[in-house]
Amino acid sequence: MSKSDPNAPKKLALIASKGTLDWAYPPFILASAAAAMGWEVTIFFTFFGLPLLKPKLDAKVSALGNPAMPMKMPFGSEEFQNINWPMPNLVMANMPGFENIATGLMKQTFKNKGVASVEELRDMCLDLDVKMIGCQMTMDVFGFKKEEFIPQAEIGGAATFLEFAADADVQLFI
Amino acid sequence: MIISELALLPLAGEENSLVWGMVNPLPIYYHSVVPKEAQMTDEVIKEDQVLDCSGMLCPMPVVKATKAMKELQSGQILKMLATDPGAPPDMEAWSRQTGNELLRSMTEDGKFIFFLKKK
Repeated sequence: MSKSDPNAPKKLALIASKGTLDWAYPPFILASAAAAMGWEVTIFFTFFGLPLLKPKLDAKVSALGNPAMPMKMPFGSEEFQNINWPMPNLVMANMPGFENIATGLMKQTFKNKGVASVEELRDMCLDLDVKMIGCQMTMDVFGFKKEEFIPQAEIGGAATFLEFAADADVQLFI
Repeated sequence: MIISELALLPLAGEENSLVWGMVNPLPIYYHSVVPKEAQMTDEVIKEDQVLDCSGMLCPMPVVKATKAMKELQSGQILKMLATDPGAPPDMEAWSRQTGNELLRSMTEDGKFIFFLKKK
């Protein structure tokens, strides 16, 4: 228990509630960095974050909820790549195929800059013993089964997360 | 005419971000706070293992450093190279959190070099 024992590892409790590619990164980045520093980490996957526990990730970028989201091109000269291309939300959100294009551009930009993929980050988290809990209620509502998730995933509810979070040094809702 | 001008704007360079009404966020680099004497000394540190994290961005350097440390014995030294501008403050935080001492932090040929001693 971190409160009584000063030598006990610090704890990080995360809730991953979003499933788009841009929102898939923060929980895995924070979890892997914390675990690398020797912290105990638990991520609770709920609502749209739940599909991040599937073996094959197909997280995409969405224009919805990203007002004035700028895009960068992963090719051309450095000057060209540094241009912020404005993406008008209402137009792009309704344009067929936009999500695939935006997702492809973001993945390529990340790869070019040396950012690990979400899959790689998740694998590193598992390697560093990050605990991943799927939300039972969301599974019931959206019709997910435990067998659809990676074998390391555990299943739990609000109380499971809260018990860990109550004793954690950092708690974040993402 | 206006339309053709607009079409060319994004290719015109960085100034166009103002025309589009957008702010081009320039990265803010945090400056490393390492004790002066740690950087000034000429004493050669002999490493037991080298880890090259060039080209990797957050959180890869800290994760790779942790993995490399697992292969070392207590007291052994890891020399780590990185190009991520976030690496200096991150490695300092990592050192404080893990208890592995950051013996020296320096810049050479545009790369950040860290000497880390296993707890």
